[in-house]
Amino acid sequence: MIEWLLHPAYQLFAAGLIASACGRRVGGTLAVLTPLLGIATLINLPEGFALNAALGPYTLQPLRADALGFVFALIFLIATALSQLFALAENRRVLRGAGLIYAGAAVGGVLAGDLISLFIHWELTALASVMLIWDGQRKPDRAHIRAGLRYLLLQIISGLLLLMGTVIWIRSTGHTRFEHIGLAGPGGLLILLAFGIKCAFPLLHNWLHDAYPRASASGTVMLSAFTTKLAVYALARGFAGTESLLWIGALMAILPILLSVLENDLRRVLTYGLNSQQGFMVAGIGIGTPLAIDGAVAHAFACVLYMALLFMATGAVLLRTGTTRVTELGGLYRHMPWTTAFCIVGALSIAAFPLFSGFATKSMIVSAAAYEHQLWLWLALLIASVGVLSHSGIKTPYYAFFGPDRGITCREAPLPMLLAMGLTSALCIAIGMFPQPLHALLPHASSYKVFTADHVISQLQLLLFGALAFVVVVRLGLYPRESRSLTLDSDWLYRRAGPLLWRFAMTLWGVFMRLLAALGGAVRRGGQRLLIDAFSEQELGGVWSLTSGAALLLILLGVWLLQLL
Amino acid sequence: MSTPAHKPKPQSSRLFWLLLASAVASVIAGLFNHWHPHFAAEAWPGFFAALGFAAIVLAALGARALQPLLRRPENYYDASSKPEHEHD
Repeated sequence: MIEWLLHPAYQLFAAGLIASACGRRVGGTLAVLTPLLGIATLINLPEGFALNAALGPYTLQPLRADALGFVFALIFLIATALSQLFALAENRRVLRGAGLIYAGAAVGGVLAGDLISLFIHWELTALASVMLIWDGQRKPDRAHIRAGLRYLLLQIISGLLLLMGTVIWIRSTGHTRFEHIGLAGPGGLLILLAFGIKCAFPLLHNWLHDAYPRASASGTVMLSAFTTKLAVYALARGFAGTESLLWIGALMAILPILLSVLENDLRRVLTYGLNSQQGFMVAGIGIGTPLAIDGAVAHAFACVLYMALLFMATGAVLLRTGTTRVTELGGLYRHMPWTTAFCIVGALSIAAFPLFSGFATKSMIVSAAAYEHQLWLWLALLIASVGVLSHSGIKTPYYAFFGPDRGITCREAPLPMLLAMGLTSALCIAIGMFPQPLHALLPHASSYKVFTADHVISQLQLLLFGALAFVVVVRLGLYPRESRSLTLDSDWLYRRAGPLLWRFAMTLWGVFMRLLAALGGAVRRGGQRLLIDAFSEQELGGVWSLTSGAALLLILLGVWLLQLL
Repeated sequence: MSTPAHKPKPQSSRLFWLLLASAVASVIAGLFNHWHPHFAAEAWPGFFAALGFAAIVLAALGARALQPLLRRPENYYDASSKPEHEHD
């Protein structure tokens, strides 16, 4: 039984249960150190080590440490340690308890060797993460609770789709192992949809923008790291080379850019950035060549770090000023110089500026698209690489820390937050300058030269001219003005159009029923009048009535006789 | 609703010239680079520069065009109940 504690996820579960019951000193220390213990355990697992258990006729494999699972588990554990360090400043039990269990569920998901274990951890990420969303307010109001419920509902639907697909898969293949499934595999479409919801495919994505920005400063950092990347892992394992992922990824990379330009809440702007980055990984998985898969995995690794860093910087702003709205922020660099610097490192990393992490990983996917001569995908990815400036690259640091000064005075972020941001920044720069160690971890270990003249010059041209265009567009007043507003997204479909349609359908139904009742009434009254007319006193004695009465009697007699035969 | 545009400071104006200079430098570097193109367009002088510039301009103009369709007041979803306080 003791070998079960060699599973990093179970270490996190145990720590989460204990840490949520302890105070800051014990709980906080445990929360930061357990993921480090998990990393040590993970690295020292013997090659091909696996934990197995039997469930009826099927074998479960809660721990399978192969190359693909290893990279994701490693980055999840690093992100857990960093986000828990960041969360020390807020010091909340929910952040430690739910945060560690959520992280454990994600680690368990990527290390799961079979579909049933994957499903269990898949649902557990949903249950634990909704706690982080509800925890965003000390006293959640109705809107907040409803947002959490919307999030939970979509995550549970994703889990149920996965369960249905799993059952079909197991019944037709006879085994539970999680390996390549493909769209044509048994239950493939259901499983792809399940992964698609968590991965924020176009039109299945709105829970991301609806729920994540409602969590607390540290809660959003934790949320940004796990759920979407668990889905990227699952897609890479189950659907590598699926052709429909090409256009899904291209759409995902481009569409969020337009919405991010209009959005006022910086943390929501960043969720659009996250969504766009997911598109690169999905496209990479769709291409399916060893380089593309490696690129998607490496990009997921880098993306966890720079998204966490950007959410940490905006989280620190939220903690100190109480808002992340563009219309209320500006000029904070004087008060929060360190946070400003870390935010810029995050921005340069997501924008894939040479020597920062995004450059070393994103270029693998873009190159893989070029090697396969996917012209449209390649163009879409290039456009999305520039579009990143409009949300995370320039908009976030500019409007929060520079931009119009609104006279806010506040203190620099607290020490644990600065430490967490500093360490994350260091990792982003380290990956950007020395990508070889990361490339060596990748499942196909494809050799790829990052710093070629072609890559550096093309990327610099894209980014510098993109930045130039941003400045020109803002100076000319063509950039949409910041305003206290929200941006409609596809959640409008079920938050507004759905209820409206429902009410319309109900009204229509009501009108129909009333019409039916009126018709019934008319028929009844008409029939009554017919009867009364036919048998009224006045007519009864008449000849016609007499003959018809006799005829009726004869018919009845005939019928009676007939049934006697 | 919106705030008046702020005047650029001399400091940011210097930054602008620096940005312009480095952007031009990147195009010049591209002219002297020996490209290994997978698509013919990659070797066109200033292709990536033009794409970068156009993408941002189009994103801004596209977002402007979508603005009346997609921008709503902050209490749009809870107009009937009391307004939502997101960040207490």
